[in-house]
Amino acid sequence: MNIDDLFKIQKKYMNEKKKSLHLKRDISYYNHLLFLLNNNIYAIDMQYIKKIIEPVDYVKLPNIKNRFIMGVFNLEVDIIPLVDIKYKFGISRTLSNFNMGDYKEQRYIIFDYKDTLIGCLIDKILGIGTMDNSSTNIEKINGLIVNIKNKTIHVIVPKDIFKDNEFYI
Amino acid sequence: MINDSGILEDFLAEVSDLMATLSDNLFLLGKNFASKHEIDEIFRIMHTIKGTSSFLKFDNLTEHAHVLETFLGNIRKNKIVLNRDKFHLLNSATDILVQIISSIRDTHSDQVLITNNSIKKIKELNNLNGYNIELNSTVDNTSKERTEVLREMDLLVKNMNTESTSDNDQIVKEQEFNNKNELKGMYSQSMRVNTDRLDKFFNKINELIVSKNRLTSLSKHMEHSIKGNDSELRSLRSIANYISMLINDIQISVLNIRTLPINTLLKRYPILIEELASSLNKDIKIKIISEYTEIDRIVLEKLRIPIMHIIRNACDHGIEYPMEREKIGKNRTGMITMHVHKKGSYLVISISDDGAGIDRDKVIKKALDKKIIIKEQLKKMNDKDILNLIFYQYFSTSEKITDVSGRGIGMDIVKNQIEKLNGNVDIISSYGRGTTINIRVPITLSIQHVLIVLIGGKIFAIPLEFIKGNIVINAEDIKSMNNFDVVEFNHTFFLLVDPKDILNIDGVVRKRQKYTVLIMEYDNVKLAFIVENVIGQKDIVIKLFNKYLGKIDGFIGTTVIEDDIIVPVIDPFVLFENTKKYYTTYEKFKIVLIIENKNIIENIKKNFHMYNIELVVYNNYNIFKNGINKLDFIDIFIVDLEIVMEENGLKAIKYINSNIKYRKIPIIILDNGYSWKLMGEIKDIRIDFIVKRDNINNDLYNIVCKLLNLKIKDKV
Repeated sequence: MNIDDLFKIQKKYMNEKKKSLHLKRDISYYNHLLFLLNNNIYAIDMQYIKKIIEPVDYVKLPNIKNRFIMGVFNLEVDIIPLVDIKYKFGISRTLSNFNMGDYKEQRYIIFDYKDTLIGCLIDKILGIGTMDNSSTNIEKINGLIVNIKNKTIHVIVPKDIFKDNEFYI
Repeated sequence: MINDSGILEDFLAEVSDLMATLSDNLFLLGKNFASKHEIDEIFRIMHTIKGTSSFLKFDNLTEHAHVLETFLGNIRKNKIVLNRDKFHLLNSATDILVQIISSIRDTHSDQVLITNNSIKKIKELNNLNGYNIELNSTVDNTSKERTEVLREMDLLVKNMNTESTSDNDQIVKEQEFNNKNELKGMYSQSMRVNTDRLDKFFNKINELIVSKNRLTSLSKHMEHSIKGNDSELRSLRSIANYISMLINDIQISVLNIRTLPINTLLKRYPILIEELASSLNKDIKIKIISEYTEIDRIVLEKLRIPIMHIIRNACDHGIEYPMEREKIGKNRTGMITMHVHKKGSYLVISISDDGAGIDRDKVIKKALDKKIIIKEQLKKMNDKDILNLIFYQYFSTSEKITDVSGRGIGMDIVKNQIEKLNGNVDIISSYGRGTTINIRVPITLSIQHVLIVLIGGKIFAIPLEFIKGNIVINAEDIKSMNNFDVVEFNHTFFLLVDPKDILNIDGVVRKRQKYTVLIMEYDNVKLAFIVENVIGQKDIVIKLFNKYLGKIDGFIGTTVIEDDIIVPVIDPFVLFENTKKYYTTYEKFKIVLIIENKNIIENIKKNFHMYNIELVVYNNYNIFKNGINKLDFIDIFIVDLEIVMEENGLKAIKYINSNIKYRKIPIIILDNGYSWKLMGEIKDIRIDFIVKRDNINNDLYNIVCKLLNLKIKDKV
C-alpha cells in the first residue's frame, strides 16, 4: 500500500462522515420538542435533549466569562451551567431572582451537546411534535423557521445556541 | 481486519502490556548493549506481537514486528553487533510500533503514515547479514523456527543432563521453584482490568463519598430536631457512622488502586535524552533526583507529554553545541536536572538545564511582532511575566524549525495540559546560565481536604494544603507597610488580602472591628486572607467545570456538600499568583544592608521580602565600597555594628556620610550594646536611628514602615 492509497481511504472516510453529519441537520427526520420563550414557539430536535426538570436553585459563580450563563445547578452528581437562552436570543434578560410562584411552568431543558451537559431555562413546554415533509400544512421559511397552521415555529439546533468558541478545549 | 471488539480489546491490552515491558527492557539494554537477557526478552516480545497481530490480520504491524524480530535474532546469533547507532535504530523502530498500535486503538486500522525510515534501515542490515526470512513464506518460517526450537530444546536437555550428574540438589530446588511458579500461575497474584471500567468504578465511589457526607449530616440534623432518645434514631446514627467508616476505608483502598510509582514515568526520559542528543549532535546528560512517590495513574499519564515537550525544548533551544559551550567556559556536556518531590498533596517537578537560558529582549520582540502583547501592557510586566509569555500559543523564539521543536506549539501544550490537571507551571531563567521550569500538579484528582469558609454570605472551599491556621484579629493589629496592610503571626508578617482585590469576590466589609483571616503561605508568598467566617474542614470530591463553563479565574471547580449546596473551590495557586501580581504593581523600594551575621539577614529577609522591597546585602566593607556605586535610588541603609563588623560597619557609615549623594538617605544601625563607646569617639557622624539587636522584629520593622510611608506621602 502506498501513500496515494492511504489518502484515498482517508477521503472516503471523510465523505462518509460528512454524509452522517448532513443527516443530523435534516429537520424533517426527528421528533421535536416545542416550547415557549416569551410567547414565541420554538422547536428543537429531541435527540439532543437529555432531560427536562423543574427549576432547582442555582448558584452564581464569580468571574464567569460567558455572560449568558446565569449560574450552575446540581443534577444528580453533575454540576451543570444554566444558560439564559432568552438573553442569548436577544429577547430579554431573565430576572436573576425571579419568584418561582409566578413562573410555575418554567423548566430546565438539559442538553447533551459535545459530551457536555448544559441546562437552559425556558418558559413553558408545549409538547412533542413530529415534523414531516409530507404533511401539507407545513411551509418552510428560510429553512429554519416553519409555519404550522398559521403559527410560526422557530426550529433551532444546539449549534445556534451554543457557539463553538464558547467551549473550552 | 477483525470486527469483534472484544477480541480487539484483549489484543490491545496484551500488546500495551508487552510494550510496557519492552520499554523497561530497552532502558536496561541501553545501559549494557551486550546484555543477553534483555535481548532475549525483546526478541520474545516481538515474536508474540507478530503472532497475535497476524492472527488478527494486522499485516502492517506483523511485518514491522517481523523485521524487528529478525533483527534481534541476528543480534542473538552475534551476526549483528549492537552498538549505539543500532540501539537508536531499534529504539525509533519500536516508536513506530507504538504509533501503529495507537492507530489500531483509535481507528481500528494499522495503516499509518510513517516518516521514520528506521525500519527500512533495519531491513537493510538484516539483508546484509544474510539471515532474513521472507514473511510470506509462512510455512517455511514456522518449520524453520520449529527446527530451531527443537535444536534449542535438545541443547537444553543436554545441559540438564550434564548438570544433573554434577549437582542433584540444584535440580530438586529448581523443581520446587517451578512448582511454586505453577501454583502462582493458577491463582494469579494480579489481574488485568480495563481502565475504562476502573474509571467508572472510581466515579461511583466519588458519588458514594458525596452521598455519605449528606447521610451523616442528615442524621445529625435529625438528632437536633427530634429530642429524646428514640431507639430508631439511635440505630440510624450508628448505621450512618458505620457506613461512613466503611466508605473511608474504601476511599483509602481505591486511592491505592489508582496510584502508580512515579518511576514508571521517569525511566523513559534517559533514553529520550540520549536519542535527542545524538540527533542534535550535542552532549547531554540527565540527572533525575526523585523520592519514591505514588501518584494518580491519570495524572501520571497526562504528565508524560508535557514533560517530554519541556525536555525537547531544553535539548534543542536550551543546551548549546559542545563547541559553543567550551568557548564560554562551560562543561562540554550539557546537564538536565529533574527534581521530583512531594509537597503536601501536590507533586512538584522542576526541570532545569544549564544551557543558554531565555533572552528576555528576544521574547519581548517576538511577543510584539506576533501581537501577543502591546507596548502599554509591557510597561506593567515584570521579568517573570515576560518569561511566561512563552507559554502563549504559536510562540517560538527559535529562528529555525527543527525536527525536535520550534514550531511554537510546545509550551502552549505544556501549560494547557498542566492546567487541565489543576496544576500550574512557571519558568525561571537567567540569560546565559540556564532555565528552570517548575510544574505543580495534585497527586490525585479525586479527593481533597478543604476548609469551608463564608465570604460575603456565600460558601467557598479552599484546599487545606497551604493554610497554616486561622486567627481573629482586631483592627488595631493591622499594621501598614509600604501601602500594604500586614498582620503579624508567629513573628512573621503576612500581607492582608481582600477577596475583592484578588479573586473578585464581593462581600467582605472592610473597616470593622474584627477580622477572621486565614494564614496561608506558599513559595515565599505570605498572606492573610480575609473571610467572614470559618465553617469547618471537609473531604470533598472536586467536580471540574465542564467544557461550556470553561476555565473560571481563581477556581478549580465545584463540589456539593450536604443539603445540595454547590460550593466553588478556590484555586490556591491563583490566589498566590494574583497576590504577587497585586503587590508588585506598587512602587519598589531598595534597602541596603551591611551585615555579616547570617541569622540577622535571614530574619530581615523573612519580614521584608514581599512588600516590594529589594534588599541588597553586603557582607563586608570592601564589597560594599565596590558595589555601592553601581546602585541607584537607595531608600534606606541598615548597618550592623557587631563586634566582628565594628571596623567594617564603622567604615561603611563613614563612607556613607562622606558621600553627598547619600546625604538625605536615612541610616539605621543595629546596636549590640557596645557601639555607644565607639560613637562617642567619632564626632560629626550622622546616624538617624538606632535599633537594639534583640528587638529587630518590632522596632526595625516599625521604623522602616514609618520611613517608607513618609516617603510615599512626600511623593503624593
